Amino acid sequence: MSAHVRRTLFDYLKGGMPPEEAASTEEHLSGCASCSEDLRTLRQALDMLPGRDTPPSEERDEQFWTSFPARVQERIDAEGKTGPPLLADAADRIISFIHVNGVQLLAGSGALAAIALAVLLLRSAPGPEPVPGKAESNAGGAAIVEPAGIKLHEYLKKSRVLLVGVSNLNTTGEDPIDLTIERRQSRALVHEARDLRREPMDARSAKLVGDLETILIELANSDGKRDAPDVEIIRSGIRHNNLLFKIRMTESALASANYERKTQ
Amino acid sequence: MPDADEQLLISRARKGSQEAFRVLVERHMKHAYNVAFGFVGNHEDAADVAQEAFVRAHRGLPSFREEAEFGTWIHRIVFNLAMNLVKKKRARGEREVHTADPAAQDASGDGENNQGEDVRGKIERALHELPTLQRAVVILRHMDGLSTKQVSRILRCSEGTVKTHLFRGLRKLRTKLEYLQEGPA
Repeated sequence: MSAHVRRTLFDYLKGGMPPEEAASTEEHLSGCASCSEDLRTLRQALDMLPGRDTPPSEERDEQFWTSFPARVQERIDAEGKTGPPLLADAADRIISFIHVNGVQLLAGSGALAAIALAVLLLRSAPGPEPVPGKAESNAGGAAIVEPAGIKLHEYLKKSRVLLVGVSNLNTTGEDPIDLTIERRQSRALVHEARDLRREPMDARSAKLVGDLETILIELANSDGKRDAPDVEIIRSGIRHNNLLFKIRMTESALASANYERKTQ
Repeated sequence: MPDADEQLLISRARKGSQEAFRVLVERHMKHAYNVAFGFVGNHEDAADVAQEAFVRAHRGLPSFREEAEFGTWIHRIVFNLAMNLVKKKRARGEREVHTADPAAQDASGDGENNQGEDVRGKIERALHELPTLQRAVVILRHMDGLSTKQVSRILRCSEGTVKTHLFRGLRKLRTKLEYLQEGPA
């Protein structure tokens, strides 16, 4: 028997399936009691959950939509007057915030303490250190171990610590999740990524920095103090792009190239 | 990949053109509003979330990669803002369920409308009880009619994950709605 079709039953019921795939689905359904039951379940669910007859936007009058862009612009202008959390200022803000609040943060909940620890580790992290690695001959490695490579190594290390912290956050508890520090750290890293992009970099590293930047912007733009949905989405992005694995691989390559350069 | 026209608008907006950004807002405002409404369930919050999403987008323009889809990006911001708002309201114990049509609210004395509102309330309640990703997929894919590909881009997961969450979410919804219709609301 062919593979179960439950994941495509929605398209089958809604008519969004090519004819040949629909025929193959029907063939499977005729011989599979489990998928047929799933089809019944899904049909009942869709009967109970009607789609929208008219989009909500159609329920607003013309005046609402005519003035919508102007209201957005007013908010942007108002934000400009009150001082937006510009990325360029983020690094300075983080440093002062940690200086002032470091003690209180450590006295917080377990999760908060872990976050603060991660940030302290980031701040106290020494410059690029020679990490022992395979000293294989790598002609291309020298190109990324120059200042851009050192900056990249630091950037990746900070990003990795931050993302591991987010990945390990406990979102199932009743306590609200406060991502204030992660958001600020992300902003600083996004700012750092801008500088990195100006440096020569191999294509794979550039792609990794780009993928990382997307996630970090997401984290930086998360809102409020109850960020569980954001955390789930960010985690999903980390997993989907295999980011932690790619960071470790790139870090390893950079460390090898650095070690090789120092031993030459 | 956005069309050339949109890419040009994004490029100009990044350089500070208010007019280019206004055109981008006009192009995407209704869709952003509809997505927001799917999560927050009332016009006031949907308007607030949609407007705030464009403010955030404007703020994030310098970091936006032009090859990305502006529409997907806006949807993603809307999704995050809306989910956070819903969470905050839930934490405050607010459980407001509004009808989609303001005119229907005016005729609240009508028994038929009350019944419709009741059904809508149960659906809203059942949706609220789904896990976040299942809820998001059901709303975006079924209620808002976005494609599997669009939803996978907004949620940054594979299309297979979207399909799995959609099936599980709808199956769970059926069970919850059955319970709500048979048991005490």
